[in-house]
Amino acid sequence: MPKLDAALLEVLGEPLPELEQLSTANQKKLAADLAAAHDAHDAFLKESMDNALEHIPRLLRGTVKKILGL
Amino acid sequence: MDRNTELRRLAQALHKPVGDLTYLDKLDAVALQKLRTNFQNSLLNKFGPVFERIAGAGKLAPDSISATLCTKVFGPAITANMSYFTPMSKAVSLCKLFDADFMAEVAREQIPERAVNMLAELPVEQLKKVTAKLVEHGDFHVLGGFTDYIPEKKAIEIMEVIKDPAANLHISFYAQRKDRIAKLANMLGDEKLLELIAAAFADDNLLVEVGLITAEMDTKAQQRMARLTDKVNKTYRAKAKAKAEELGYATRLQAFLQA
Repeated sequence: MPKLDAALLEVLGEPLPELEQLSTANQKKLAADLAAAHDAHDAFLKESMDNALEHIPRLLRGTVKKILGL
Repeated sequence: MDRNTELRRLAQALHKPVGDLTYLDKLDAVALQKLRTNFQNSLLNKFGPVFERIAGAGKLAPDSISATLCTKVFGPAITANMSYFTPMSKAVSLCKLFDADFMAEVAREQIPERAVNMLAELPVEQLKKVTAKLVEHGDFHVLGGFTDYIPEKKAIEIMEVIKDPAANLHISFYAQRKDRIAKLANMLGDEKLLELIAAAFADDNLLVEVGLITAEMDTKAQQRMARLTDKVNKTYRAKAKAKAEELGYATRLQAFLQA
């Protein structure tokens, strides 16, 4: 039985032993699907953040970003 | 726990068609649920500190200003993520200032498991308006997720705003608590149930859904469903039996099939 693929473990952030039932190829496929969904979500949130920051005067944006840890 | 329901919810979270996830066939419903919650939590954890800081900054602002900031500046995605870090009384006050369209957009971005307290605290009238909007836009997956966590008394009242019987089944499609849907369905009058049965048997997927719901009912309720199903069409129960045997829930449907 294959152990958790390194790429899958990385995208999960914690081990999920149930996923060891999947073949190595399917674990890699799942890792790719999860990573793609993460990227899409990150891009969507970044766009929302950028839209929100548009309302702040340009000179203050850098400071606000720093405060928020962006 | 129904595996197909969990697979649909995972597919929705990953923005994939269910058919693209056949490579997960070896995973049961519990494993799929763990995978989905891990994924949704990891999305939130990544940006959690940022949302916490934004929510923290808004704690002292008057509600009207915070609500305007949410609708005009932050937008639904940030508002949804901030909601998990906003004190409940403040979150409820803000929701009362949002219109139904914005609330529906926020609901689309929320993780139902994280919104349990909010669902308990929000006035049912507010929830009804949001539900009507989500039904109008066909966001059944959102409603299905929330149905599992909404207090039962509120769920009964909310069901009143769902006029289309097929919509109830589409929502159930994404709800894991079929027992709860069964209880709600059993509270419907004969006329509404007849409509629901007719809608279910017009679509193979919904036929399975109504079967799974009926399987969660007690003997008396299953016998009532049998009587009403015969009233719609005498051949329908044989169709339901074939489907239940094919998918392995026929033993839980005995009272319905033998009535």
